[in-house]
Amino acid sequence: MLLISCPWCGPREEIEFRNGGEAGVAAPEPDAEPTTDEISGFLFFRSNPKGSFHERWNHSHGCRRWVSLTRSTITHEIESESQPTGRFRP
Amino acid sequence: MVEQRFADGGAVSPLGNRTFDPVVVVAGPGVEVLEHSFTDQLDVRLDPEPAVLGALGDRLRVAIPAEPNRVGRDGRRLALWLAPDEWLVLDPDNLEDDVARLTMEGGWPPDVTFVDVSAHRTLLELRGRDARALLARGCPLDLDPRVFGPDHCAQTLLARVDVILFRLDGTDAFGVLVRASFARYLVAWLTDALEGFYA
Ligand SMILES: [Zn+2]
Repeated sequence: MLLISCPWCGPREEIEFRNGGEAGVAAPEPDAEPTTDEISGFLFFRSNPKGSFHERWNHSHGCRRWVSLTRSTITHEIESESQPTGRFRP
Repeated sequence: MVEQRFADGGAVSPLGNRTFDPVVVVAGPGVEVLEHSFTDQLDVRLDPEPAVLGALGDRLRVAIPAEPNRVGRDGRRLALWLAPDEWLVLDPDNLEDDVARLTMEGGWPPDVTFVDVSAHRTLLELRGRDARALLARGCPLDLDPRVFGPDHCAQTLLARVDVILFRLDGTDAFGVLVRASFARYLVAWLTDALEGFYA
């Protein structure tokens, strides 16, 4: 069980959160006429590292805000502070 | 005001109660659970500008907390922080007139919303010396009074159900807001947990 820190609610148990996959995956600019490869890369391909992974979590049973943090996929240790990813910051 | 109405003109709460007075739904030696039926509830969403929060607090006659997971109180009226841009205002007496006035008067930023959510959840009160220990059986939060103080509120899980938890005014009692369709399950769970408690 992970203890995930929400920037607004403080440390909460993992069951209150929903994992949102890799953080910082940029969508292609629509005006730049992205290629099929660029679009499928954005939609389907993730880095899936062994080690430090920057990922998103949604505090779905709490304040329902998105946060991002770095977690080791080997030890599950959370290696960074949680950052709010929405427009409101604490 | 938004309770289900039947042909006989009566109203019935999610737990089958027909009165505005609190009704005991679970009772044990050291704990009692009551349903406060038909508590008026208003969901407010707006940008958390201090001036707008102040104006809203003045118009609703209750302090709107800017700090996360805190409760503003004035008498029986409460304002609970739900998210950086969302609050829930509760009043067991009458919120309807204030809501009508708020929405009629205008003068709010364009992205403000006021939604009457009185039928969304019902309010349970857990009181008695064992109320905290009973809650702790199904809730991952630290409910110790040094951590979860009288002006705290939290959205969390109780027996795998989404709830809003807060301390009722001036007492050790807890308020638990639960969605209408989960209320019967939660009361069944509390009844069951309580049985194990005194075994
Ligand atoms: Zn949160």
